Amino acid sequence: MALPDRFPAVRPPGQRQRWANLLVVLLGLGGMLFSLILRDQVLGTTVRYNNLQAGINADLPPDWLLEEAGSDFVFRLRDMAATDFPTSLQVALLPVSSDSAARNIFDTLTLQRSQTLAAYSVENPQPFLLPNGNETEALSYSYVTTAENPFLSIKPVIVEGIDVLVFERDQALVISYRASAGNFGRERHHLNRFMQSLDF
Amino acid sequence: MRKTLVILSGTFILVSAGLLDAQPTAVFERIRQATVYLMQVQLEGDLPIITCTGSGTLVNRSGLILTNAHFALPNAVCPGEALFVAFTLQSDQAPVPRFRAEIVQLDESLDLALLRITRQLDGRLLEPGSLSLPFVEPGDSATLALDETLTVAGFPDVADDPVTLRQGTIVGFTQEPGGRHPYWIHLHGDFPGTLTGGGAYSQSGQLVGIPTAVPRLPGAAGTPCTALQDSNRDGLLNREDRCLPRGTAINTLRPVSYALPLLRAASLGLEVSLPFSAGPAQRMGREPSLERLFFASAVNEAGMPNTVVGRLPAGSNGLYLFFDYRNLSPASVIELRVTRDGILEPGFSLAPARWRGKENGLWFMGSNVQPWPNGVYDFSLFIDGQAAGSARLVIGGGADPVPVFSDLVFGIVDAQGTPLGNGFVLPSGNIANARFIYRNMRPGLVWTVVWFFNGFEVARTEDQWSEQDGESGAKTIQIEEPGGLPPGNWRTELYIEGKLSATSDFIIAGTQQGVFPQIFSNSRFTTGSAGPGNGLSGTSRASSPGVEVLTGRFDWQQIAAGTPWQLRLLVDDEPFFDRHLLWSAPSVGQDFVVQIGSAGPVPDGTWEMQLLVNNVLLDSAEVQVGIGRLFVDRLASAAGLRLRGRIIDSQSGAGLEGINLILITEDYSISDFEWREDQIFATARSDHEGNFEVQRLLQRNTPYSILVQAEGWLPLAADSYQFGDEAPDPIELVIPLTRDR
Repeated sequence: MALPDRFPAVRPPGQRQRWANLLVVLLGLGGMLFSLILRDQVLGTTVRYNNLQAGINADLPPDWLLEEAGSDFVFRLRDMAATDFPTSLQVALLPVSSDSAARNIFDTLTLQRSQTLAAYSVENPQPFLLPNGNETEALSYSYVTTAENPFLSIKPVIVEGIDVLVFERDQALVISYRASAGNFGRERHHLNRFMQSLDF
Repeated sequence: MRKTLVILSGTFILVSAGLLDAQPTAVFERIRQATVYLMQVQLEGDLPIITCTGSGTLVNRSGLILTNAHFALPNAVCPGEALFVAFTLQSDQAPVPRFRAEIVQLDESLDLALLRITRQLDGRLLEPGSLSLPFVEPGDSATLALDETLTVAGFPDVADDPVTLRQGTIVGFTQEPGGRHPYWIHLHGDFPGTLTGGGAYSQSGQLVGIPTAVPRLPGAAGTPCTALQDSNRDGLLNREDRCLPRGTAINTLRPVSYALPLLRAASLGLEVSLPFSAGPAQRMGREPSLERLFFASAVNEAGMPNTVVGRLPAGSNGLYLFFDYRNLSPASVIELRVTRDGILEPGFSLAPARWRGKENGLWFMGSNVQPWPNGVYDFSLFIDGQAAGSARLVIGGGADPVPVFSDLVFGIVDAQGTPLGNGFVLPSGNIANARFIYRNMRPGLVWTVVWFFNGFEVARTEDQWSEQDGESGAKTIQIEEPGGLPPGNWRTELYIEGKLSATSDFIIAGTQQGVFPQIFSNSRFTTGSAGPGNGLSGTSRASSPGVEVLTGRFDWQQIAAGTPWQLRLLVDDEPFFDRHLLWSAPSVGQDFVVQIGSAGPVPDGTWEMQLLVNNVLLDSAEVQVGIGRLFVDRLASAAGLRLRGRIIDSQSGAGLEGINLILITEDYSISDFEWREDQIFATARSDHEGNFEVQRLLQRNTPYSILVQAEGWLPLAADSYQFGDEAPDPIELVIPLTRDR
């Protein structure tokens, strides 16, 4: 193949072209910023929730299924769009006495859940910093889901969870966040946002 | 509140073709799904040993299973302590164990048990309300008639067989003491013993009976059994290993009407406790025996023979075999084989079944609804596989004008000598009168009256028939004891020329109130379990809701130990406890306590306690709790359409796993949906092949909204999705999703 004898001479960009290049870069950056803001807005969209009976107010993620007054919780939120295990936030109230310690509550929960949840295992309770600066305790755990419908072949899913304990007078508020092991870290911002907005 | 949904119009849901079969197919499929295989298991050591198997039927969505008691309850033949439940996942495959169950209601005498699925296979407790299983509804077994075709569902063997549906024809009914309706339905067909505990269905698909036959002890002659496991761990599977009894061929069904009280009690979580063991006494090593076998052509309301017959004319419909029994227990297995001219008659025979009566007494088996063909009948009774008695009867020819006594009734006589009262329960007093009808009598015939008290002869008179009594008529006789006739079980036998012609039992109990006995009095309901209780005495009193324990109380007088009585408890006119008991408290007393407990507060409803002796209602009490009516459970109905299908990738057609389908109630549209649980009719989740099944039944002509939303996929939604009268059952949907790029 024959090469051209000479290449055309390269001319330096003109003033207009420089401005155009700069504008393109700025537009690109602006677009990225806008999409980040939009994403943040979408992710951060919440709905205010008031439970007068329990005296709980909090911001909830939209499009999560809200269930109130269950047998063992005040309310529960589930992300039905999650395809392996519905990421959930749950708030339960437990009566406590002046002698009650976090460990007693966690022991009760552990004993109770070990009866119904497969391969339920807990870690040592860890300190958890509340948005108001106070420190409380949280219990991390994991288990495996099992299907209740015997006619479908639903495979087990490993679920991770964390219970955050908040003592308030003669009650303990247990905020539970659960997600599949694959989603647990990625979706944890829901717990953080929920805790920041929680008014009990 | 939130406007969140992207609603895409279009036909995203396809009704699959080829599933528009006739309704019975859907009914049969539902029956198949509701039929479970039950394994009773011994959990000693690390090798669970299957000790007995049978079939069962799911009768509500939360996992209540109706089956036989003989293999659910630990006993000599079936000593296991745990119950495992296996489901048929594919209609042509063997069942797969999925859960464990526990007995929640039991009536050994009826050989019925209700189990509740309570645990996962590994022993973990199930969360209450977490199950939503297919089930069938009990129908009305009282309306069944001869020649009706029934479908029996169950597992035909202990091998790889799936649920089988076999048809049979009703060829007879057998009545026994205690109820107005037959206690057995005889079915003609091929029904192996492992079907026991399953279900028999009417043509409309309703559960009407429970196939019932008790296996004999493993090793007994003629007992089919199979060794399934190397139970002795010798490395061989042979006759030395535990043999799993497979039962004998079944030709009898227990009508489902007798299971309804158990089902009601289990559904409401009720538990009835009595202050002492009021059940039948257990025999203490004495050999069971049957004696005084005789026949009657009819039975009166107290379960007594109208007369004693030696033969019956051609065209007879009514025939009952009566006998006295001794030392029987609920663990006894009784079997009746009837031959006509030497050939076994399955329509009149009874497969081996648990003994339903008490320890001692008078019993009958028979029927008045089917014609008995002419022939020589031999009735042979077996107890625990051993011959225990037999009797022969000839049917044919015309009616003989032989001398006969019949229709014995008891009471207090008026001035004309007519017995007054309820006929078979007399108040304590000095005199007991018996009135009977006589026909074809001749002067000079020797007739004898024998009176028994608690099984011992106490009086006997023998006389010649007088001319003034005539050939036919009614006559009254009496027994008198100046010191008073003691309360207890009495019997009168009438003989003509030394041959038993009529006999009847009656009970003396209570004090005299006019012509009626007053045995029970002051029946009332109270709250609380101890002390006199609070508040609810009297009838038709309303109480506030939130009652933890409801207690029925009554006083009693002059009732001897061993006297049979019946306690019936009802809520909203439907019995949930109906037992024939033997009195075992002192003969006089106050505050007999019948405690009705519940898992939570006693449900709202109108509660009633009925006290009966010899089928005669003697006292009752009623009380209203809360609004006076039971809560109507909309989920308790098995009527409706099943919705199932597959969620797939619209491009590849592959099934998508873990996708949630949300069905919104008819009260809300997609735009009204605020992601609240109370707006949801049901949800379903697809399995690894994309299959899903909504566990709650849809109602026809009801508009539902459907929403499918999954991460990474475009959401789909539709309003007013309804299924008309012509819609197939089950509804099969294919839901294609498009990837969100």
